[in-house]
Amino acid sequence: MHNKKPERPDYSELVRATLENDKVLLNKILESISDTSIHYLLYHMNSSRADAEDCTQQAILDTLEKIKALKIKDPERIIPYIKTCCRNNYFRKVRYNNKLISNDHFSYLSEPPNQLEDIMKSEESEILKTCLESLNDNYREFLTYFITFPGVDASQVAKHFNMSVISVWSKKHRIIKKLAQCIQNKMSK
Amino acid sequence: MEQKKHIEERIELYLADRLTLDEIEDLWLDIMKQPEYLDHLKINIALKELYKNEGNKKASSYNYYKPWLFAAAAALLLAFILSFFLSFSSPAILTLNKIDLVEIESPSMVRSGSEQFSQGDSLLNLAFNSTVIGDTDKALILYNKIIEDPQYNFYYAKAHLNQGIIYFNQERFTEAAQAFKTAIIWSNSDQNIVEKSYWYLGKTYVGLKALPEARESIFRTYQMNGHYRSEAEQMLISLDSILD
Repeated sequence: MHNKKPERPDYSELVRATLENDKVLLNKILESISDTSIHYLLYHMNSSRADAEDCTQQAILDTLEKIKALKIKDPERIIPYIKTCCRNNYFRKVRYNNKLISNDHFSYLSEPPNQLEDIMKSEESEILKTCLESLNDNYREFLTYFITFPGVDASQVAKHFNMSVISVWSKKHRIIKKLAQCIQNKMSK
Repeated sequence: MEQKKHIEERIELYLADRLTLDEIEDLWLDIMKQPEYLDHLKINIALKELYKNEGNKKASSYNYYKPWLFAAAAALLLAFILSFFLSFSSPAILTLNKIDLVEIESPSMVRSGSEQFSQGDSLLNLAFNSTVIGDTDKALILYNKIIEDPQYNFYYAKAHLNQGIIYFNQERFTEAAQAFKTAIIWSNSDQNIVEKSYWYLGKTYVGLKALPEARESIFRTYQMNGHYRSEAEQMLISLDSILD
């Protein structure tokens, strides 16, 4: 969990900062890109943290080189490119380390994130509890429904809470955002 | 072109292991484009973990059917009344008899008389036979074989439901609850599976002494107006007499 709210990076700014070698702006934008890329490798590819950090760093360096060489001009292509680089770097690293690359390896990529123990430190977990208690009854009731019925269909939730299907996800989004803000506020104190 | 699902919905499905590999990659791409969603993913996971770790010992604090926080004294009183009620004067309707094996789900074509049998059907039948002769360990292994193989996803709901029945009869209520809930998820809106799963999920919650949750499941059974409606109505009356 971040101590401050992550901002949506402006990828056209990333192109500009790279070409103008604006290191302050570059670091700011790359911080969140790097964080999500590492988590992509950690959770989805089941990599180690060290591998995830190495592969992400290399992917970002490669991407910056491509931008400098004017081979990536469309800012919208930057994140897909970094993601592909991260993935390829990781597989290359696994092969290089003579680790097992087989169908077994690919099969667990479709599983949900399994490094759950790593996700929240106990301190953050305590803060989450406090933030949960600060929510109103309606919000807590809503969240608990999802926890009780994982993967529940929106139509079922909508029927239960007498609301439209579209509103279900907007409401959940609003509540999770509120929790995220609460956690960030408490951690920054 | 189909409209993309809301990212919260995709995160929910991801954590329930219900996205394809392509959909997962697409979700991660969106998370990487909009990093604030990484926190959303983490919070969703942490909430589930929190519930798993603490939900059992503080079930009354995390139920959604009644207000969020019961006073500690009220919770203790409820627990006492419940244990007293179940131990000494429990009405027949709340007595947890074993589930009759006739409730085990078998392949549909057995009933329809179809002669076409797939491997999934055979596994379901083998598991059923094992259950009947009392070899429930083997039955659970066979159901796991179905559950773990994507080619049998058509049979997931029945396999989970039947596992739930076995766990229930073994008084492994936590595992039974999970199995019944998963059966509902995979039911593909099959009314028979959904109704049966909610009915036995409700009974399982009684076994777990989580009465508000039991009431919610039984109420859903009642609402479905099917095979278990009459029994569900009686059970609701009993539950309300304790909960009110």
